[in-house]
Amino acid sequence: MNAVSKVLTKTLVASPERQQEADSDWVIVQRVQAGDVASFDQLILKYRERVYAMVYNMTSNREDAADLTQDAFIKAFQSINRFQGQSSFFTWLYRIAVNSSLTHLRKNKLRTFFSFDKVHEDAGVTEVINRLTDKKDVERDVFVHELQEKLNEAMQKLSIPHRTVVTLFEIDGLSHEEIAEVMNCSVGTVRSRLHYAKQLLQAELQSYVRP
Amino acid sequence: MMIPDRSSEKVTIEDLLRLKRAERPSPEFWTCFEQDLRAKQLAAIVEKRPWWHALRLPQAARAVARFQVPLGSAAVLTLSFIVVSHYHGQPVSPTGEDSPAVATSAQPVATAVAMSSSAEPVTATVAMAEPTVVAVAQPVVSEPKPVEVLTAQQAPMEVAMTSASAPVARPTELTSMIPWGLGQTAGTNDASAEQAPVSTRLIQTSLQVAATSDLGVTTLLGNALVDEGQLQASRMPVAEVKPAVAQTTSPRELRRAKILAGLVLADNADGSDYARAIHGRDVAANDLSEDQLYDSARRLGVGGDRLTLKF
Repeated sequence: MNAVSKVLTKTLVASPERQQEADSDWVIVQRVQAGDVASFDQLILKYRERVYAMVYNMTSNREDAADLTQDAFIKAFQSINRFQGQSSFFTWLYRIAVNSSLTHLRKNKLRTFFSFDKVHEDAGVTEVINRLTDKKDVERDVFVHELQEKLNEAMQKLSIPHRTVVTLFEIDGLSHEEIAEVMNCSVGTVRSRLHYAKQLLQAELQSYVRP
Repeated sequence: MMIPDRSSEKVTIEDLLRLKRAERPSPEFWTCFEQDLRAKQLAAIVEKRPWWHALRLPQAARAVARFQVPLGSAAVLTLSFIVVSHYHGQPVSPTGEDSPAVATSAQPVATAVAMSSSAEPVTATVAMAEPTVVAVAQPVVSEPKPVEVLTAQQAPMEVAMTSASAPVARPTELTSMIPWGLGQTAGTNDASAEQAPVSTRLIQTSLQVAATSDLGVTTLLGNALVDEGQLQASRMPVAEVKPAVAQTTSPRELRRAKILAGLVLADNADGSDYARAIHGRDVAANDLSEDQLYDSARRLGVGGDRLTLKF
């Protein structure tokens, strides 16, 4: 059993795409560990948007999200020699980023400044906005901005574990097993937190939700 | 063309969160991000890391974790051994007590005489040349308790004495149980006259206790009481309660106690009894001298044409 298959068997990721991803990541990591430092840039380019999105939705502040994402990559780079392939690089990097975000949020509990990125409308998002409003042009933009604020406020009202679960599942698209591995808890706990967090969000966004 | 009314269409939380997923930074943001990351990466390479990062403590802890049960057991055993050895290594008290708990909790013997006439306890600090031992044997008492002797004219004498195992070894402050002590601390002759019966009862009680106890009375006043000067002294030997186990009762000690009781009575007598008391004291002194002589005679040795006398 070679090292790549060892990684795959220990990774809780079940989908073939994730397995292939973990396989290619492990090869790059081995190159970096062998001294090819420039190969780490490939990993940065591959994961920076996902890591940033996760941190941004945790903090609701783009500047903090940028700093925390950079710190996560720096930490991963410094500790790359300790990475032994017990999990996939993706999960390992996510764990570093989540821990950095949690530390930041605990340190700055009382300081909450929002700064939002622009909503890039794709087909799915446009469909949702059209279902919510009939307004056009400027009024529509105002409505979207207001909705964005309400969404971030509702997210910030969640506790940190619940916010993390919602972010990782609904926004980053991780599976329950991956979230459990990243957050170092059971899958049942992840499901329970996700259910409770959605209930809270529904209560907060009652005026926008139409069952 | 009519715009369809979409306000009745279903919108879920997942739909709203899809909107949140669409919040993305512009491409210019990633350019700045790249530059900042490069700068931080270089700074991290140049920055000297603390020496403890090179220890790789997590790996060491992981290696040790396999042996956590035997290591923990060994630590507990070692700690237990140290505690037990330290406990047994404590020095024995000078009184030769076996129990360290009793030896450490030994308390000084306090004796107080409360008089109903003055309504205040009279206490005298007594310095001693030789100890007088009064002890009452009791089977087993875990804690040594202070000795209290309370006397009153109208109240029955209460004698609470230390246990047989009590290691009371310190010099103590003894209230004047003896009449001359009472007289001087009271400061008046009338008080001394009133205190005489109390003292008599006290001494009698002491003798009774001594006679009925297993250990008896060990009186070491001995020759000191024969001396007239010391009889007049305001201070008397303080009772030092030795461990009762170490004491032995001999007829000779009982006899000495009785003689001393007589001396005490003689000193408090007045009037016509005084001459008889003085006579009794002389007899006692002679007896004690003879007793010493007998002791000396035992040291007499005869060997060949030589007669040796050890003093």
